[in-house]
Amino acid sequence: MRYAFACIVLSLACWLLTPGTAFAQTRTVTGTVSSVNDNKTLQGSTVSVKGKNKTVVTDANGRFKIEAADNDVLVISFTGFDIMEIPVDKQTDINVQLSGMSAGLEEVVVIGYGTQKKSSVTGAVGKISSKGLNQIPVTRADLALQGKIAGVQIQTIDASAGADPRIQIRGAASINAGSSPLIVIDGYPVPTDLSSVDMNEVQSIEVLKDAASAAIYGSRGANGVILITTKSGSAGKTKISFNAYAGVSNVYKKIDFYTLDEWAAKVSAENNGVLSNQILTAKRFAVNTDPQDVIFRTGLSQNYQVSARGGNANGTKFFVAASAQKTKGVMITNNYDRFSIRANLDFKISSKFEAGINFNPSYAIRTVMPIKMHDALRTIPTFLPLYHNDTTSKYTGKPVGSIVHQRDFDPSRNTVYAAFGLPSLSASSDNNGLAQINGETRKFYELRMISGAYLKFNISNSLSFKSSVGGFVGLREGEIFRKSTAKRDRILDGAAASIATTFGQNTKSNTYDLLNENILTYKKKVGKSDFDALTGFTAQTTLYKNSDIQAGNFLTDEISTLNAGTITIANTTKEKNNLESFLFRINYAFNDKYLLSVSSRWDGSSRFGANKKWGYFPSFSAGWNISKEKFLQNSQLINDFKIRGSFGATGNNNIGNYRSFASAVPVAAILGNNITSGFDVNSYANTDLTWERTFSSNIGFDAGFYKKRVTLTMDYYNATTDKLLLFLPIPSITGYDGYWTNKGKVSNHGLEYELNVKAIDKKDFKWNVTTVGTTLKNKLVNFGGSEKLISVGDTKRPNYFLAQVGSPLVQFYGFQIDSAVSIRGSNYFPIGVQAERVFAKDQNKDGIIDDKDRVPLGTPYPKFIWGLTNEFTYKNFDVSFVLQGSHGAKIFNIDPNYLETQFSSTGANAYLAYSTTLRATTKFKSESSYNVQDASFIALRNLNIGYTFSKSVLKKMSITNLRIYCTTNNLWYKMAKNYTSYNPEGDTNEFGSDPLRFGYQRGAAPVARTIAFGINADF
Amino acid sequence: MKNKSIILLIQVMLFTAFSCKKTFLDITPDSVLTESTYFRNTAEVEGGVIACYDGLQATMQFEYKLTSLRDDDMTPYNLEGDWGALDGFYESSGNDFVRDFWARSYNVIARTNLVLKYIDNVTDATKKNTFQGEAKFIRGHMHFNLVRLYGDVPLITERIAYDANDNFKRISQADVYTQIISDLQDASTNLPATWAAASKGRLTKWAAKAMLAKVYLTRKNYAGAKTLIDEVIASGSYQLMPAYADVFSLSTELSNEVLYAVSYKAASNGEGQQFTYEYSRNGAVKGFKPQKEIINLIIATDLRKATSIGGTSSAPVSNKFIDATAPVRDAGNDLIIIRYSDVLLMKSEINANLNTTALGNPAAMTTQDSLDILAPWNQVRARAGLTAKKKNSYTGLTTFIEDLFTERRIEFCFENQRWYDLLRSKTPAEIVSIMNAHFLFNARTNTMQPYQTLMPIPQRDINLSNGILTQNPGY
Repeated sequence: MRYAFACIVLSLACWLLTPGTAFAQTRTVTGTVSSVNDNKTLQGSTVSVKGKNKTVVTDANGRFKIEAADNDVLVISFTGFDIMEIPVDKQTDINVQLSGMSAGLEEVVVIGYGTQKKSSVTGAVGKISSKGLNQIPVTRADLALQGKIAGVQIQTIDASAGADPRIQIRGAASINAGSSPLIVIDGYPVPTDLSSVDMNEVQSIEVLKDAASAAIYGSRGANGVILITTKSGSAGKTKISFNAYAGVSNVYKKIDFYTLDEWAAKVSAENNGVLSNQILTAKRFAVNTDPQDVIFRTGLSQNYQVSARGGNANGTKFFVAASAQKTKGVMITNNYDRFSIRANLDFKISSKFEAGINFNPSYAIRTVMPIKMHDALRTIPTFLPLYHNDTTSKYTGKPVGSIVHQRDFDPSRNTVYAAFGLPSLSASSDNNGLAQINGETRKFYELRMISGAYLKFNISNSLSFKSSVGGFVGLREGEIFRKSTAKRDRILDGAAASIATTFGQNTKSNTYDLLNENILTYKKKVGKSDFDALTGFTAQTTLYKNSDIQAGNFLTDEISTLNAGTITIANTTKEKNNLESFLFRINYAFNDKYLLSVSSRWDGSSRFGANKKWGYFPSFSAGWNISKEKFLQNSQLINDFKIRGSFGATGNNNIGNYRSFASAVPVAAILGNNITSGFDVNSYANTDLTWERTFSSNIGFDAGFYKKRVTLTMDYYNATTDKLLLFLPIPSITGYDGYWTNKGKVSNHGLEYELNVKAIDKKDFKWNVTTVGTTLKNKLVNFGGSEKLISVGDTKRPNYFLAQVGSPLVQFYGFQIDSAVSIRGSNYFPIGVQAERVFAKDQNKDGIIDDKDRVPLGTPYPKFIWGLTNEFTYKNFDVSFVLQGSHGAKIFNIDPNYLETQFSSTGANAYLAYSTTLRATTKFKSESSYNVQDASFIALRNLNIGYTFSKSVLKKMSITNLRIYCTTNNLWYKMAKNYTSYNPEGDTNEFGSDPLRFGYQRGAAPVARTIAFGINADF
Repeated sequence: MKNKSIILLIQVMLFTAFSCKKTFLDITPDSVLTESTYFRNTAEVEGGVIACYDGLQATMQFEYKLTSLRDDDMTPYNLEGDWGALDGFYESSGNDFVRDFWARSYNVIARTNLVLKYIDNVTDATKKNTFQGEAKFIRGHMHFNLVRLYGDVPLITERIAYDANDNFKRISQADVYTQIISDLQDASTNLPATWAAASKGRLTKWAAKAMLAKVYLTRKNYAGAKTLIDEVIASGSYQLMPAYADVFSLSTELSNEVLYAVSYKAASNGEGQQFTYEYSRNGAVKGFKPQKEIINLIIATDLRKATSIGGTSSAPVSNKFIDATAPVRDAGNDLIIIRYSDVLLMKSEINANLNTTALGNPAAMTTQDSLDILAPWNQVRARAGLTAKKKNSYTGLTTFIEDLFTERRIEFCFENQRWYDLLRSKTPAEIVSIMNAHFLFNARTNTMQPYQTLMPIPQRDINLSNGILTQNPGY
C-alpha cells in the first residue's frame, strides 16, 4: 500500500506545488513536515510566514522551501492536524511534527491499491493506527485488534501461545469456501495469516468491510480485506526506537475439583453415611492432587524490538527493524518464540522514477502440549499421588517416584494390585496425563519471507505507472515424537506393546507465491472536480508443496528423528493455484461534496471449471458531505456530516485447488503381502464450477459534533452470498459424500457503530472514549435444494448440528433436558461422577422420546459484539483500557462429560435403577442441551498505565522520548454463569474444516492473564 | 511523447496479460490424475481394480461394528455412544457407524462401477474378463452385505450422477439378490483359479463360487449351493490348516485355508487395519469382552479355545487378531471372509437340508450320506480336537442345524459371521429371544425388538434423497 500511497502523493504534488515569492532581506529556509503520530511526511501541508502574504506547500516528501527572516514565525497547517507556529530564529532546516486530531474525519485511509481522504470515502472502511497496539502483551498482531474495529470479530479459538485466532468480518458469508478475510500486507495479498507481523512495525491497519471497498480485490474480497501498512522511513534525522516488555502470565480461571474428603463427605451425606468400597480404598492412599497444578505454570513473555527510520532530502527513505519475542505459555511445554527482521527502503532515482524494496524474513518455533486439557485433567487422578510413594508402591509394584497411572490400581490390568483384592480405582486406561505430556514433543517451525520491489514511473503530473513484484515463501515444518513411555507403561504393558506406541512424524508444508502488479494511476483536479482513477493488471501464482513422513517402532526413546524408527508413511504432494486480474476504479468528487466511486475487477482463477474461469466484480458507491452545504456550514453543533451508500459484488474462491476435476488419486492395496498401487476417482467433475458471489449493500453516515469532539459512524450492512461454493452433501449411495457446486444462499446483516468522544481535552488532562459495536444476523436462505441436514459430531459422545433453511447456518441440535438422572444409591465413584444420561423432554408430546423430540439449542454465532476503549492522559501519566464483549453465542462444550468421568460404570449405569419405561425416556447428556453453554463474555483485554518522562529531563541523556508502562491482558474476564471450562471462545476444530460442525469445544486451552512492564524509547 | 509512452505502457500490459492467459489458468493437478484422462488402457483400468481392493480394505475393517458388535458373543468394555447403542439395540437412525458402513460400502460399489464403465478400454481379452470378474465379485459382495444388514437397499450397477434420484430408490431384497447372484455368477466364470504369488489375495473363481454358495444358502437354494461347494472342494485347491491358531497367524496369512480375505499390512503407508487395536484393551472402548456364553460354549479341551479367548478371566479378550508390534490402529492381520472350514460346514448344512430323510432315520444313513453330511463337519471338529459326530448323533434336521450353527459360532467367533448366521438361520422372533436371553443372562437391561434385525437406513441419506429413500419400520 505504501507504494500506491507514494504514487498518489507524487501526482498530487505536481499541481499542489506553487513557487513562493522572494523578499530581498530574507534567506531560504527549508524543512520537513511530518505527522507526530506516525512520522509520515505530510505532502500538501501549508507553510506560511505569519503576518506576511507568503505561502508554500510541501512536496511529496513533506519538504518545503520558503523565504523568511530570523524573526519571522512560520505557521504550518494541514487538514486534520493542529496548526503549529515555529519561530525561524537561526534555523536553516526546520523539522516540524504536527499533532493529528485523532479520529478526525480528515485522516487519510488506505484503500485497495491507493489511499483516500477519509472525508471522501464512500464505502465501509475501518481503520486503526498502531498507537498502543504494540503494548498489548499478546503473541500476535491480530490478537491486539480485539474490540477495536466495528464488525471485525477476532476470536481466540485457541488460547495457547502462538495459536491462530479466527477472524471474521461481518459474519460467516460462506459454507465451504471459508470465511477468513484476505490479508494484504503493504499491497501484497499474501497467502498466509498475520502471525509473522510484528505490531511494532505496523503503521496502520485498515479493514475493507463492504463490497464497494473490497470489490477491488474481486474474487477474494467477499470475506472482507485486512490491509496492513508497515512503517516507512521519512526524511530528516534518523530516529532510533527501542521497545520492550516482559511479563508473567497465569491461567485466568481454574476449575474447582472435589478433593477425596469433600467427595466422601458428599457421598456420606447423600448415601446415608455409606461410603463406597472404592472411596474407602482410595482413602488408604490419602493424597489429593489437583491436575491443574500439574499442567499449569507461570508463563513468561518477552518482546524486544529495535528500529531505525530516516532518510535524506533526495528521497531515499528507510525503515529497518529487528524484533524478538519469547513466550513461555501457561501450560507445560507450550512455548512460542519468534524472530523477525524488516527492511523497507524507498529511493528516488530521478524526477520521473522511484523505486523501493522491502524485505521481511521471520522465524517462529512453537511447541504445543501433545494432549488437550480434558485428556490431561481426566487422566491425572485427583485422589492419588502424582508420583508413587512407599504406600502406593507396595500396592502396585511400581517403583517409588514413577508417575502414577490410574490403571496401576486396576486389578484386571495389574496383577500386583489384584493380589490385594481391592476394587479398581481406575476410570481411565490411559497413562497419567503428565506421562503423556512428558513423553511426547510436538514442535512446529516456520520460516517466512515476505518481500517486494516496485518501480514507479511518473509520466506526468497527473499520471503515473507502477509495476511491482512480490514474493512470499513460507516453509512450515512439524515434528512429532512420542516415546514408548507416553501411552503405555513397560511394567504394566510390556516392552513390545510400549514400543508399538512410539511414533514420529515430520510434516512440511511449503508455500511459494509470486505476484506481479502493474497499475496506472491518474489524478487530476479540474475546477471543482476531483478525479482519481486507476487501472491495472495483476497476476499471482502460488505453489504448495507438502510432505508427510511417519515412523513407528522406535527401539529407543533417545532419538527423535525418524531414522531411528520404521517408516510407516511417506508422502509428498504438490498443488498450484494461479490468478490473473484486470482492475479499474474511478473516484470522483465534486466540490468535496458529492462523491462517487465505481470499481471493477475481472478475475480469472485456475481453481474453477474449464467453462467458468472468469468472474466480474463491480461496485458502486456514492456519498454526500451534507455538512459542506450552506445550511450546515455554520452549524455549531454539526461540524461534519456525510451520508454514503454502496452496492457491489465480491467473490470467494477459497475452496482449495482442483475442485472442478474428478480426481483420480493414488491409492494402494495389499496384494501378495505387498503394496500395489492403483487410482481411485474420489470426486465428481464439475466443469461449470465457478465463483461464489456476495452482493452486499451498505448504508451509513460519518458525523462530527461539537468541533469534532464527538464523532459517530454508523453503518447498516446487508450481504447475500449466492451460488455458494458448496460441497453439496449428497446421498452416500452415489459412492461420495458431496459434490462441489455453486448452490445455496446465505445472508448476513447487521448494524455497526463507532463512537468517539473527546470527553476532556485540556492541556494537562485528556480523556478519550471510543466504542464500537456490531449486531450480526446470519441466515441460511437456500441449501442447494435440501431443507436441512443433521450432522453428527463425536460417535462416542454423540451430538448433533443442524443446518436448516431459514435459520442460522449452524445450530446445535438435540434434546431439552427434562430432569437429571440420579446416581443416588450407586457407589458414587470415581470422584465427581455424575450420570451419563438425562431424562429428555417429550417435545412433540407423543409419549415417546425419539429423534423427533430434538430441537435447535442455540447457535455458535454471537448476536452482538462490541469494544470499548478509554484513554486518559494526565500530565506525564497515561492510562488506557480496552474492554471487549460478545453476546448471544453458544458453545457445545463436551468437557464436563470427561471431567465427571461419567463413563465409569457408575455414571453409565445410573439410569438402570429406573423402570424400563422411564429408561426409554433417557438420552445421553451429549445429545441434550446439557453441553450447550453460553459463550458470552466481557473481557478487559488490555489495561495500560504509562509514564512519559519530561523532555527537559531526557535532553541531557540525548533521548528524545522515554515512556515506561505496565500493561495487562485479560486482567478481568467475565464468563457466563453456565460456562464451565477455560475459554468461552475456544472452538477446538474437532471436525477438521467441516463448517457445518462448528462451535464444538473439547479440552480448549485456558485463557491466560498477563501482566507486563515495558519501555518505549526513541533516540 | 507523453501520449506515446502511455499507449506503449498499455500495450505492454495487455500483451503481458493475454500472452500468458491460455496456459496460466488452465493448469491440471500435479499430484493426482483425473477421470477424464485416466482408464485409457489395460494398465490404467487395472489401477481402478486395485482401487476396488483398496476400498474393500477401507470398508471391511469396520464390518465388525454392525455384526460382531451386534451379536451375543462380544460386547465393548465401555458402552459408550454409538458403540453401546449398537451393542445394546438402542441405536437411532443417526448412528454414525450405521451411516459409515453404508457409505463405505457404496463407495466400493462406485469403484467397481467405474472399472466396468471403462472395461472396453482393456485390450487384453483375458485381463478384461478378470477385471470384470473382480469388479462384479466385489460389487456383489457389497450388495450382499447391504441387503443382509439393511433389507431393501438401492441397487447401483453403473456410475451414477450425483443427483440421480431414481437410483436412490430401495429395491426389493429379491431383486437385489437376483443382481448379486448374477454378479457372482459372472465372477465365477471370468475369474482365474489361481494367482501368481505377487498377486496373491486377488479374487479367484473358487472364492466366487463359495461366496455365491453363501448367497444361495441365505436364499435357501440348497441345490444351487451344492453344485458350487462340490466344485470348490473338488478343485483340491484348499485344505484346513493343521493348527487352528495358524489360520490367524501373521506369518501364515493367505494360507490354503483362505478362499477370500481382505489383506492388511502393518506400518505400510496406511495399509494396516484398525480393528486389532479396537479389540485390544487400549482401543476406543477399551476392547471387546468375549461374553460368558461363548466362553462357556468352547469347552476346555477345544483346541480353538486359546486362540479365540485370551486375556484374564476378569478381563477376557480375543486372541484372534493380535499383531504385537503394529503401530496404533495400523495392524497387519487379514480379515478372512471365507475360509475352507466355512466351505466344509456349508457342505454339511447343504447336504443335511437336501437329505432330511437320512437325518430323520440315522439307522438308514448310507456311507455316502454320512460322507456328505457328517464328514465335512467332522473334519472341522477333528482339527479342534473334538470327537466326531456320528450317524446316530441326530434324529432330525432341526437339532442337527442347531448344533451345526453352534459349531459355526465357535469356529468363526469374532469373525463377523455370527450375526449373519443368526439372520439367515433364525426368524426375527427367534433372534429377539436369543438376544434378550443374552441380555438377561448378563444382567443387562437392554432389549431387542423384532424390527431390529434390520439396521436403520442412515438418516443423513434419507434427508438428502428428496423423499425417495425410506426408513425401515420401527426406526
